[in-house]
Order: sequence, then structure tokens, then C-alpha cells
Amino acid sequence: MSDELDRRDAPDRRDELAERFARLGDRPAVIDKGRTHSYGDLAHAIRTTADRLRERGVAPHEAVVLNADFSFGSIATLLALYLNRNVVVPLVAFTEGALRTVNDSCAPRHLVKVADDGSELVVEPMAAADPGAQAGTEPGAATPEAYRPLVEAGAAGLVLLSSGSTGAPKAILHNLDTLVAEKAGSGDRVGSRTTNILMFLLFDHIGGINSLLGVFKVNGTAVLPARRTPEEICALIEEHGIRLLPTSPTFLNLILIGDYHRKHDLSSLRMISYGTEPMPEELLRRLHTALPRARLLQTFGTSETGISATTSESSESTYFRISDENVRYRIVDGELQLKSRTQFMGYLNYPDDSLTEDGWFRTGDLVEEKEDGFLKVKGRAKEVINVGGEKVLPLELESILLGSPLIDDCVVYGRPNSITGQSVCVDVKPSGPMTRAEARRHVREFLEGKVEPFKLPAKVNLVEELRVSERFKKQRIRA
Amino acid sequence: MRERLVGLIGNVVAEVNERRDEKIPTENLLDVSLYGDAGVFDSMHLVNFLTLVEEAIEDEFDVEISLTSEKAVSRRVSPFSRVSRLIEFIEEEMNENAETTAA
Repeated sequence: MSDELDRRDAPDRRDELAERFARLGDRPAVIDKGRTHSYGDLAHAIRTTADRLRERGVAPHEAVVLNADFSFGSIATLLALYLNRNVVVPLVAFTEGALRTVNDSCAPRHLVKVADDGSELVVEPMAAADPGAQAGTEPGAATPEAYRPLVEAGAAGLVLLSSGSTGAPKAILHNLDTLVAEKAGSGDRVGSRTTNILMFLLFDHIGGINSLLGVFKVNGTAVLPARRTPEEICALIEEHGIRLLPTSPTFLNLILIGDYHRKHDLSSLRMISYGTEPMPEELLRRLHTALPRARLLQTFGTSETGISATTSESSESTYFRISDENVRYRIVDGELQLKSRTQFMGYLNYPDDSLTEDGWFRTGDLVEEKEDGFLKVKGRAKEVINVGGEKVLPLELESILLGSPLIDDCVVYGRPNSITGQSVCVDVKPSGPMTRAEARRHVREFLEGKVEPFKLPAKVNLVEELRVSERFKKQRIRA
Repeated sequence: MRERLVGLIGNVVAEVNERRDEKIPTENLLDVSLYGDAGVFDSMHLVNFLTLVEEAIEDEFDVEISLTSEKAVSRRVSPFSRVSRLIEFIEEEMNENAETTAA
């Protein structure tokens, strides 16, 4: 313990971050519900929140659930917990399943809620699942084994819950010091003009955390949406002259289908980064036509390895290169494997079977690599449909079908049967009135000659809305 | 019921025939073998055909049944050996479905 105390007195990168923000003074850091908060305000809020946390008994290295979406208050609290070396578990939606996972695997000591403007902070005790580790015992006495390396390094932690389409969410432990050091930079890339970046991805998602740290890297301004609807997002882009929008292909398609890019002036957008799921080529083509001034960049990352810096071959290409000196990659049996400096420390509730023996993370993404090193995501390994031994990748069919003027969006998935194992099904959201028989005929005619016969969907369903997760990903795995 | 099912399967066969070079005979439909030595389909086309029949049943009777279940596949006398046997299987499944719904 004495070693740890010594370290606490040493100069700390954590304090440097708040110090740096303080020096930026009036530069806008966060725009939340129309209100602008400066970097000076943020530095002040981080420090006062850290004091309040300590006053209320939140000791270093304790796990703290931060129940919040993006707000000025939640950002300040996240960074205050970082300053205080806590293990932060951000949770946007306090669902029963998430709560159970947190209680069972994260040994949480406190639940923190904060007013959007940071003015009020509520700290409640949480019953620790470990019987030997009841709230109120001596701090650090019952630190779970998984947090031990963080304590030894004097570092803060971050636990992200995966959106697990099957089974309980995975609790993924990161070293928050490493993430901040790698992603928030030193702030020396300061332009005179601030870059407004929209926090579309969620506060408890690696993409959202990455977006936020990316704002700090360029001393930019995080613009927070009240709701993540295409209408609201496009209105915010127009109102605040957003330059960077990190989002998902599914959400971009919702913007195009609803014509929101014509109802709002989106000309400020310099870059749209898309990730979290593969991009259908046809959709990318439509996007580039609709928003010719914005560069379209494929990002690549996982909750386990963090988001890698990438370069797209062009705005019309789904090929990208991992151009991140902190990340190495290799392809084994068609699957992309990564090793990164921001790699997670482990799962708190699952065996680390996604790691190879030599420590590479198996992404579950199937990729192809061109000779020049550009990669392309072909789909998720677990979403491959096996029709009597023949493999079908949903993305290939979806990408072609999106080229039909009669189809607004679609999702392809496998349906189990006892004859061929699986058959190909597609849910289609038509652009106009259509019967199921017409849809079936159209899908078949549109695909015939473009794909091998075994890929033709056996079943075509008409739907009004596609199943989209709260993180704006298409859901292909069915219960 | 049986007649409606024969008509329904006839319609599905007609739809499938539109895209086939080698047409499935429709005059003695009940005797047509769907799968196996003398069958008109390979396994993949059988699944596609059965899926169409399932959809037609759903449209006409508003019942959802599975014709590709383990139960269908593991029958001693295969429902896919002849159209008449498929119809028997469909009737059983529909009756069972009705009982479950009633109970």
C-alpha cells in the first residue's frame, strides 16, 4: 500500500489532463442542450467532482457504476473518476440484465448519478456480490483479483459491457490510463478553429469513449445529442456546423431514406466515420453521391482492442488500411486478429477464449486483404449462413439488394432447418407498397445472375422496420 | 381441407415451374416424389419449395407450421417421398397446431 501512496504523490498524467483543460480557458469543450461549457469549466468541474467523490467515501480503485448518457456532468464525472483512479462502469440504460452482470462480475461499490450540468452528484452504495467484500469495508481490502494489476500500476480502469446478442453481456476490463494516454493525446494539435464533433455513439460503448477522447486530442468541441434520431442529428449538424460525425452504416441509411440530408444543410461535414458493423458498398455509393463533400472513413475497432486509426482507400471504397502504430494485425483462416496497446485486460465474467495462445484478439470479423495491404470486412464469422455446406455472407446479398430502387433497407440472416442446416432469409423494407409474393419475385430476379443459386433467399419477409439494436446495428442473429 | 391443400401445392409447383427447365408434372401431382431417388428436388430446392408451401399455408389458413423440422425429417415414412404424404403431414401439423391453440 505504501508503494501506492508514494505513487499518488508523484506527478501524474491525470492531473496534466485537467491542467491542460484549465489552460485552454474559454475554448468550448462541450455543447449540451444548447449550452456551451468551456474547457476551463470542464477542468473546474472535474476537480470539484473528484473532491466531492472523495468526500462521499469513493476511494481509489473501487468500482463505480456511472449511470448516465453523454452530458457535461457525466463527462466531468467520468474524468473525475479517472482522476481518482476508480474502475468506472458507464451504463446508459440501467436494465435488469446489465445490473445483474455488474453485480455478479464487477464488484461495484458505488452508484453515481449526476445532473446534466454537473451541479448535483448522487453517490449510493452498491452491495458487492462477493460476500467478503461488503460496502463499507476498508477500501482496497476486497479488491477483486482482476483489478489487482490496476492497483499495482496506480491506474484507473474502465469496464464496458458488450451488447451480447446471445447470453449475458461480457464485462470487458480496460486500463483507462492507457486508453486516455493513447487516444486523448497531449493536446498539441491545436488549430485556431475548433472542430465540432457529434457524440452519436453511446457513452458506455468503446466507440463513444473513443469519440470523446478524440475530441480532447484536438481540443475540439463535443456536441451532445438529446436524442439519436436522424432528424435531431441532422438538425444538430446544421445548427453547430458539425465537422465530424462518427456513426454506423445503418443510421446513415436511415438519414438517406428519410431524406433528412436534403431537409438540413449538412455541408459543414468534413468527415463521416462509420464503424460498428460492415458497410454495404451500395450504401456507400449512395452516401457519397448524397454528401459529396464529406470524406467517408471506415473505422475499425472492438470493445476489446479499442478503435484503431484507419485510412480508407477512398470515400467510395470499403477497403481500408489499419494505419495505427499501436495496432498490429494478422489474418488467420480469413479472420482478422489484432494486438493493440489499448488491448483489454480481460473479461470479468467470461474465459478469455477470444484470445489466441500468443495473445492476439480474435475479432470474429472475416476480412479479405488486397496485395497493397488494404482490408475489407466481409462479415461476422458467426453470421455466416451455412446452406448444406455452402457459405453465404449476409453483407454480400444486402449490398446488392440495396441497389434496388424498390428496397429501402434489408437484413439477411440464416433460419435453421433440419434438411440443409440453414436457409437464407431476408427481411425487406420496401420503398413503396408491395405484396410478399411481389417482394419474393423481385428479390429473386434482382439477385439472379449476380450470385450463385444457393445464395438466393428461400424466404422473403416484408417488414415495416428492420430490427436495429440500440447501438444502430442490424441484428442478424436470431434467438 | 385436403382439396384446398392440393390446390395450394399445385399453385406453388406452378410458381416453381416458371423457373425450371425440367417441369414438375402437375397431372398426377399427388404421386410426385419430392426428394430421394426419383425426387424432383435436391435438398436446397426442397427447402425452398417447403418454405413456399409454409408461406402459402400461412396466407391461406393463418397458421404457422414447419415442414423442415426434425419431426418432418425423422419420420419413418418420409413426408417428402410423395406429395400425398406431405399433405398428410401438413394436415397432422395443422390439427396439432389447432389443438395447442385451443388448449
